[in-house]
Amino acid sequence: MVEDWTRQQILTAIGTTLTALAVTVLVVVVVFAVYAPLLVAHAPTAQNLDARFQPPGTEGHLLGTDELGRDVLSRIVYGSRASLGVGGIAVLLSSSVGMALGLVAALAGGVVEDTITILADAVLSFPTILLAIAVVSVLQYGMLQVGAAIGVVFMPVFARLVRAETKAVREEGYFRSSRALGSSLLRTVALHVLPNVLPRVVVQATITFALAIVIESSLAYLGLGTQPPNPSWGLMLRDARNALFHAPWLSVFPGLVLALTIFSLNFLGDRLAEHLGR
Amino acid sequence: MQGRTGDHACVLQVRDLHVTFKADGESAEALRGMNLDLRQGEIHGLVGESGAGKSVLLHTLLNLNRGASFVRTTGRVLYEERNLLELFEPEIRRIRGAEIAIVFQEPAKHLNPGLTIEEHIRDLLRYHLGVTRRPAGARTAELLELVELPLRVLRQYAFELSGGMQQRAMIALAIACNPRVLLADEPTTALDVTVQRQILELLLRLRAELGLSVLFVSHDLAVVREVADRVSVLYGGKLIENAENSALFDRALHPYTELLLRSVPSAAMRGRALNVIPGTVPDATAVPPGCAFHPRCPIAAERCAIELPELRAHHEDHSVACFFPGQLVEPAGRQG
Repeated sequence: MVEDWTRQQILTAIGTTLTALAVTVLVVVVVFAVYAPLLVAHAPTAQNLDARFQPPGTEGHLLGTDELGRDVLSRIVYGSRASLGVGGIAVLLSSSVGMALGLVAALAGGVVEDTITILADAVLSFPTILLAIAVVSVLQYGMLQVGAAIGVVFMPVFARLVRAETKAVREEGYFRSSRALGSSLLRTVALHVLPNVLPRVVVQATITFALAIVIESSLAYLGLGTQPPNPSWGLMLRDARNALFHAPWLSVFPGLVLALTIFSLNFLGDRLAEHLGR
Repeated sequence: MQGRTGDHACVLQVRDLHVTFKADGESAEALRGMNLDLRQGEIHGLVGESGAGKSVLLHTLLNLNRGASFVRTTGRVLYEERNLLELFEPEIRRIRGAEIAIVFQEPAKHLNPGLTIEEHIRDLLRYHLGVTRRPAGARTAELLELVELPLRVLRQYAFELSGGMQQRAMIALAIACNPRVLLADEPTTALDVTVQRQILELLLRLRAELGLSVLFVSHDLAVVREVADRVSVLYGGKLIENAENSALFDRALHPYTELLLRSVPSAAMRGRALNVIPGTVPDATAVPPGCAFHPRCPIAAERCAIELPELRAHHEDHSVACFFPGQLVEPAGRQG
């Protein structure tokens, strides 16, 4: 059977399988975040100094315990809340505000467009993490603040994307004929521009989500994101680095979950982009 | 001016319309004192070469001129005793599409590829007339019948239709809200000849059935001759001749019109060189003084380069803007 398959079919089969896997991973992570208290036996911050550095597979601690005897699995499950929360806030903020800015820039033109474009370019010219660190330092620590900081960093990406697409649609005959037949600008935008813009925004949002999670973890790793003792994947990696050699599972499992989540999001983003023909 | 229209009821009157654009820092006057009367129920052909200002006129009529290059409009566009150029955006929006509708040259480009024909029409009905879903369905069916399209077209997208069907759909959209005036911007130019003919017949029928007044813009003299009741000739941003269809095509008074008619190739001219008018349409940034046509005109006199000829009635219902109307000598061998 298998040898009869063409190369193309094999690739398609692999792609479909990977997509299913990616979706599964994301569903699991979302379930983690939503139902965390129901899923784990131990509170994520509960310490047990009699049971430090238990290896994976220990009775009651499937993925082992860390240097304070906290259950690794519980911390990973609860840690998904920080990742998804920050990622979600960042994506919602950056896509909504970025989209609004992009639309305004493209439709208003002139000074307004120049101002928005220059500001967007200015923000984009900073290294992402550096800018996020700067924004977090000004705000405070907390999921909302970190999410907002990352959101600000990614706003220009959406603004540019939406501006370019809107400008293209604006020149289309159907945009002009809609205006010529009496539609108001807002209505014309809703009917003719948004359907063209939204698919791209969704693709970009998926990829931005992945990036936001990475940045959240990086910030936590640097001590600027989620604060101990609250669990976050980045924070777990940070705490694990001292025990890298005698308790490698403390690094491996959070790292693996993080990597799988990022990979799944990026992969789905790519598939979505392909599917939309872009 | 007003007297020239006599006892004919006009739906749309253009008075002393100037439209200025900016091109490479230079100001360009696309329309330079344009006057036009669209009479109730007529098909008014507007002829002119590319760059004469035809499209600008249509955009100005709907007050659609926008963008960085647009400078200003002066003059009046009178519709139901209101100057459309002075209306606020919400008011003019109520007129666009509902009272004065427009049909464009390339229907494929002017229909959204992501929406079905039904969605296009229903949106317009809901917007202008507040028609809800069910009555809108009846109206869309009626419209399709009017433009002779099968009902299945409602569920189809523009790219699934042929050029002729697309243009019919575009016309259905334009007449959806029962407008009084239809502006047609080269509606048949992108179509092949047989389809062209069907669309022209459709326009004639709609005019008769719905009492539309149509401003039919085209550079194709043959098409205009076929459908128009009256014909106006546009040159250098001004009307230079205006007459009833037969009067204009039989006895053009302006040398430009005459030369334009002679430049149409015919079977009788087989083997001979085509008649061309030497030179090109003046650039809107540098329209010559006096009569805009004088540098290309074979009978231009000194006066033409200095003084601007006004559009005046030469005889009844036939106006021309030339100091020497009808004086261009017919070349030997030309049939009338």
